[in-house]
Amino acid sequence: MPAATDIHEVIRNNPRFWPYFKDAIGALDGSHIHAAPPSSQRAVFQNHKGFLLQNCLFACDFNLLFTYTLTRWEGSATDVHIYQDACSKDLHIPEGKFFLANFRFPHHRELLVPYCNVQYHLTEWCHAQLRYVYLLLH
Amino acid sequence: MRHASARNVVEQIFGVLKRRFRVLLLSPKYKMQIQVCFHLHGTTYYNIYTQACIPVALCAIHNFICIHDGNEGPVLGQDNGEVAHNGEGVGGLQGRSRRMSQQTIHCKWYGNFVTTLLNTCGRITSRSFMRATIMTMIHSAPKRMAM
Repeated sequence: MPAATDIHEVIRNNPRFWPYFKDAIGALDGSHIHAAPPSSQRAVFQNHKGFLLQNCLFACDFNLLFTYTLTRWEGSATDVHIYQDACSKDLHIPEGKFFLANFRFPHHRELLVPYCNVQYHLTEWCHAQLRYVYLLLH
Repeated sequence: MRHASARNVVEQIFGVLKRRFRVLLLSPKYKMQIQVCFHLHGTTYYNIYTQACIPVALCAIHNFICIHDGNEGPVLGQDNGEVAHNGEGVGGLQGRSRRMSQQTIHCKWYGNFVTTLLNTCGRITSRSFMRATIMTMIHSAPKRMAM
């Protein structure tokens, strides 16, 4: 993990990110990876689509390097549970820093999640994304 | 949008990882857990969850490749051979084809390395046996790999 005063060079060199994400140290997301559990545990390893998977939590920095992994969670587990388990075990985020995460993760001081149910595309790409308007209205 | 494009690295790295190591897309043939007794920091552990170790090991190998052979990382992540994200030119068509052949050699070698490692994990008999296997694989590495 980087020190509290480090600012990643990708963030520093990109004017789109610079003042806003200066305390970001990477991105965090969960991923499903195939598994073949014993038959007694097969029910809990199914995800919502019925595949047998293990749920893994990965964190990476902006140079495409992994900084944290947590595996062997059941496929039916949610990202919130895995994140809480990781925090209770060995995921230590420096004070004042945060990871970027998607809306499935909890609101937390160490996580920056987007607002739920907000179509960010509408404000910036309104002409190209008219189908989202259609989806919202219907 | 800025948040989404900044968060894009994690989606990108999943693509790179699953494209580089196709074993992650298959249902593994290894047992979920192996009964092994080992001691670590004064505590005794009994089980190794092999399938949970595979992604972690592959992440470590991915980091190793990116750190020690930095030119390879962004190129493998691309689908159509576009210019690398970090601004490095690929070096023309000839250079690209040469790089591709080197990548093929390396991919084959990495594949053998991972397969051997995983096969060894399935039947860990002793630490010296594991070390001997890894040393054999390292000696058979392509010359460009300076390990």
